[in-house]
Amino acid sequence: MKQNLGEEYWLALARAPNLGPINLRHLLNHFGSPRGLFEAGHREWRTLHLRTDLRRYLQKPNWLAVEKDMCWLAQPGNHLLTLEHPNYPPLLREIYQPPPLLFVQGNCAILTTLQLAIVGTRRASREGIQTAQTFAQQLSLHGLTITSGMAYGIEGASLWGALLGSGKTIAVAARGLDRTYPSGHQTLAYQIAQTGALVSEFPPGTPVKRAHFLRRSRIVSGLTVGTLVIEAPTRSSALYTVRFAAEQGREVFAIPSSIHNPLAKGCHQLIKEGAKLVETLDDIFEELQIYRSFIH
Amino acid sequence: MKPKNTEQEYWIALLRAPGIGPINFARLVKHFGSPSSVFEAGREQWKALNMKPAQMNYLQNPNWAGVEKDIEWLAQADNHLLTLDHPDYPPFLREIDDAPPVLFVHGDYTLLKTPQLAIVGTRHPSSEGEQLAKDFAEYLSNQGFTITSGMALGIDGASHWGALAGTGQTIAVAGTGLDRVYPAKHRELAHQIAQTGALISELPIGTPVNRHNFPIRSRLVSGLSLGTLVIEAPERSGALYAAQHAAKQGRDVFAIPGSIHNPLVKGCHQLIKQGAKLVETAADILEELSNYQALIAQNRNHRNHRNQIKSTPKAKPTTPKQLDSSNKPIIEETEPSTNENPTTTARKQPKQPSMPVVNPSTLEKPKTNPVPQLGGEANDLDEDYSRLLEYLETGPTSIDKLVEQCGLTAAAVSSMLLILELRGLVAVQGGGLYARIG
Repeated sequence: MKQNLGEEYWLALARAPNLGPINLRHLLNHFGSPRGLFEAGHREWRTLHLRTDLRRYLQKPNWLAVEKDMCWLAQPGNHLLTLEHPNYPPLLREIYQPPPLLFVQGNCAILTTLQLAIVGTRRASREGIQTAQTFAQQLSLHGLTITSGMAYGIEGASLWGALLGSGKTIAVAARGLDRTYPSGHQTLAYQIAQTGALVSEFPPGTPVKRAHFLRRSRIVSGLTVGTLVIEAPTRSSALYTVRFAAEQGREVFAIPSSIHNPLAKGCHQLIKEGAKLVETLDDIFEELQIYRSFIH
Repeated sequence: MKPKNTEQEYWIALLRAPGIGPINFARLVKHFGSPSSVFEAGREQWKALNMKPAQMNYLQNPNWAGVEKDIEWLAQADNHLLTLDHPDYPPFLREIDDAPPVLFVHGDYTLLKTPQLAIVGTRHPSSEGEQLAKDFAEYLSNQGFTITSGMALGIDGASHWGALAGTGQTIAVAGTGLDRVYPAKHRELAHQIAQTGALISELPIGTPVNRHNFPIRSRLVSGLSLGTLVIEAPERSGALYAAQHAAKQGRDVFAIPGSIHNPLVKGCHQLIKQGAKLVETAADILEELSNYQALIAQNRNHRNHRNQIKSTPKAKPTTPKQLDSSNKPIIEETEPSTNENPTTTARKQPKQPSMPVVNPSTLEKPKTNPVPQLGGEANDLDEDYSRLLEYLETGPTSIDKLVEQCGLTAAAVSSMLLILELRGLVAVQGGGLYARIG
C-alpha cells in the first residue's frame, strides 16, 4: 500500500460500498480515524462482523478514484471538509446522519456562518420570483447567508438575490461539483463560486440522480437555522426540505398568498401545521432572537 | 312612579339608566332579584350600593316616555324583546362577561338559538374579497350555520347577501336602534334579512348612529357565534374588534390569507400569527368546529323540516346588482332563459305563487364541493381553460409563461386566451401580460 495522507483515506472511505453515515460513525469511533480502519486488517474487520464486500473494498480501495478527487482538490478554490475539520458547519454536524465529507468550491469559511434556507417550487410565478429575490437580497444584507438548492424557480431566484445583496450564499448540489449544472444555471454557479460556496456531499464525477435530491434537501435544512418557503404547491419537492427542517428542530417560515393561488397551497398547509407566517423580514428576525448578535 | 308598568317595561327603563352598563345591570338584577325591585328598593338601599346621585334621580324618575317608544315599537309585527332571563335569549351570548341585558329583535328570534358563524371584514373590500364572503356565507349557511355579521358595507353586507342566497338564515347586529337602518345603502338588505333572518340590537329604539357604538356592537357579533371568520381586514380595521372579542370570549378565530403585497389582508395575517386558524376552504372551519357538529346538523335538518311544512311563501332574497353582475354573462349563455334576470327569477321565485310552496333553495342538497369557487362563471369551461385561469390567479402573466405552465402550444394558449377575453374573464394588460378579471 502506498503512503497516503489522512484526507485520502477519508476519500477512499467515502466510496466504500454499503457504508452509511451511521456505520461510518461507529467505525470511526472504534478505530479513531479512517486510516486506522484501513490499517486494522482482516482479523479485526471480521470480529466487527463487517460485510464481505466492505472487507474486500477495505483491502483494495479504489485509489484511482481517490486520485481523481485529489486532482480536483488541487485546483484553486476547491476544498474538502471532513466531519472533524474545524470549518465543518456546526449545525450540520448536529443532524442525524451528517455527511462525513463535504466537497466545497469557493469560500469555505462561510459554511460556519449563520444561514437561512429559501426554497420553493420550480414553476414559480413572477410574483414568487420577485419575492424570493427581494427577501434573499435583504436578508443577506442583514448578515444572513442564504442557502438553497440549485433548482430553477424560487431556489435560483434566492441565490441570485443573495448575490445582489452581500454575495454570501451557499448552493447545495445534488451531483459532483465537477459536473455541469442545469444549463440555465451555469453563470449562477460561477458567480456563487466567486463570493459564496458550492457544496456537495458527492465526490467529483457523481452524476445527478433522483435520490440525490432528497439527500441534498436534508443538507440544505441541516446547514441552516430555518427554512423559508415561498410558493410551493401541495406536493412540491420543496416541502421535503421543510420536513427535514422540522425533524432537525429548525424553524419553518412560509409566505401566504391568495387562497385561489395553487402555488400557495403548500405554504398554507405549513402555516396550519405551525410554520410561522412571514410578511416581512421582521417576522423572521423575531424568531431568530437568540442569533441576534449575527444579524445587523 | 306609574303603578301599572309591566316587568318588561322595567327592563327597558333600567336599560336607559345613565352609567349602568351591562355588567352593573346584571349585578343590580342579581342583587335585587328583578328590574322592578331595583326601582322599588328606594334611596336607602341604592345609597348602600354607592350609586351616584344622577343614577338615583333616574331610578326615582325613569324615562317612561322613552320606554313608551320602545313599547310602541314592540307592539308592531315581528318585533320582539329578549331579556337576559328569557328562555330564548341566545345561550352563547349569555356566556360572555358583558352580555347585553336586553335584545331588541326584528324578525325570526328563534334564529338566535341556532349555531352561528360570524363573518366580518373591511368596509372597502376588493371584488375578490366580496365574492369570497358571499361564497363562504352561502356555502356555510347551507351546511347549517346561521351567518351573523354587523350589516356594515363591504364584507359584512356581502356575507348577509350570501346567507340570504343560501338558506336565508342570517342575523344582523345593528349599531343603532332598530327603528333606523345604518348604513342607508343597506335598506334593501335589512328588509330582506327581516324576511328570513333577524335584525338585532342591544340599543333602545331611537338610538342614533354613534361611532362609539360600533366596536361595542362587535362583541355581540362574536359573542353570538361559535367562531368568527375574518375576510380581508387591513391593519387597523374595525373588523378586528370582532376577532379580538371572539378571542377574549374563548371562541375560534378564522382568517383567510392573501398576498403579502395586498394591504387588505394585513389584519388577517396578523391574526394568523396570533393563533387564528388559516382558512382556505369551508372544510377548515367545519373541522375546527367539529365539536358542534351535532348542533349544526340539527339546525340543517330542523330548517329543512320547518321549510317543508311551512306553506307561506315568503319573498325570496334577491341579490343586489353589483354582486350579481359577475355571474351574469356566463349564466346567460348557459341557461337559455328568457327571463330578464335569470339569477333571481329562475332560481328563487316560486313558479306558482298561489300554491303552497316549498322553498326550492332548501330542497337543493347542500353542495358537496367544500371549496367555494370564485364565482360560478368558470363552471362551464373545460379543464384546460380552468387550469389556464388558475395560473392567471397568481397575477398578470405573459403568454410565454402560460405556455410553459400549461404545456400546451402557443397557438392553443393564445386562442384560449382570446375566448376568455371575449367572455370577459381575462384582460390584456400593459406589456402584453394577461390578467384575470371579474
